[in-house]
Amino acid sequence: MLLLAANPCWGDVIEPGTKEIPLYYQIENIDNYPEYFFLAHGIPSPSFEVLNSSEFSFYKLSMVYIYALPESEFNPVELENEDDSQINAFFQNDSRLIKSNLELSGTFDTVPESDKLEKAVMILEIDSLNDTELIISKKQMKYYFTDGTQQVMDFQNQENIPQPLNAPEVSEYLLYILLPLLALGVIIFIIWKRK
Amino acid sequence: MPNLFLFFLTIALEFILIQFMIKIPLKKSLLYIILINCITWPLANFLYIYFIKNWFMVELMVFTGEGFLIKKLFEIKYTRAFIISFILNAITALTGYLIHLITI
Repeated sequence: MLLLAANPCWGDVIEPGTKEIPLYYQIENIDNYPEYFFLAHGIPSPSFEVLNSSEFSFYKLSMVYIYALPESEFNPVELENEDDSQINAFFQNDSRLIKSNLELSGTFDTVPESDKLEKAVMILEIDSLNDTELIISKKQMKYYFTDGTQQVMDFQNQENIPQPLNAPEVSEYLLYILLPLLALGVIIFIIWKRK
Repeated sequence: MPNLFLFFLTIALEFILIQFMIKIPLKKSLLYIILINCITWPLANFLYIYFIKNWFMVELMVFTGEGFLIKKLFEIKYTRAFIISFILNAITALTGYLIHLITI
C-alpha cells in the first residue's frame, strides 16, 4: 500500500495519462542593468546561454544558476570556442562571475492530459546586483492554457509556487458527477427489481 | 475534457474480456459493463484531475469499486468479483499505458 501510495517515479518517461508542463523563466528588469551580461549555466545543460529580456528554458532535469558579468570585463565570444569542460571550469573558477542566489529547475509539473494548462512562466526580478552578489527573487507565475486564457499569480513567499486555479467546467460536472449518479440510480433499480 | 475514446475503449475491452469469465446473456453483460464504467470512469478522471494526482491510487480505487459493482450486478461471490475486477483493470490500465507510450 505504501508503495502504491507513493508517487511513482518514471524517470525520463512521464506517468501514463499525464503531460509535462514546460517551465520558462523571464527576468523582468534585466534591461535595467545594461552594464552587465547575464549568463545561464547548468548541469548537464545549458553549457552557457546569454540571457536577455526574452523567456528562456532548459532541459527539464538540469539545475541552473544565473550569473552576471560586468560588460567591461567580459565578452561572450570568449566562451564560444571552448569545450564543455573548459566552460565548466570557467563557471567554477572565474573570479569575475557574480553567481545568483537562486537555483532554477527545468520542469514545472506533470498534469493529467485533459488539463487545460499548457505552459508556465516564472517571472524573476533582480533585487540587487553589485560586485559580489546577485540577488534574484521570484515575482510572478504566468500560466497559459490551451483555450488561450492566462492566469497571473503573485508569489506570496519564495518557497511556494502559486498554483493555477483549476476549476471544472459545467460540461465536466455533467460528465463527472451526473453520469455516475444516473448509472448508480439504474444499478439500484436493477438490484431492487430482482428482489 | 478527458479523452472519450478511452472511455469507449475501456467498455469494449471489459465487455470482451468478461465474456470469458462470466456466462450471462450478451445484452445484459453489455448493459452492466456500461453502467459500471459510467460510474468508475468519470469519477476516476474527476479524482485524478482535481484531487489525487496518483495514477496507482486511482486505479486501486477503480479496482475496489468495480469489484463491488461486479459482485452486485453479476451476482457472483466477492472473491471471484475482485479477481475479475483485477484482471479487467490490469488489462485496461496496461492498454492505456501502451497507448500513452505510442502517442508521446
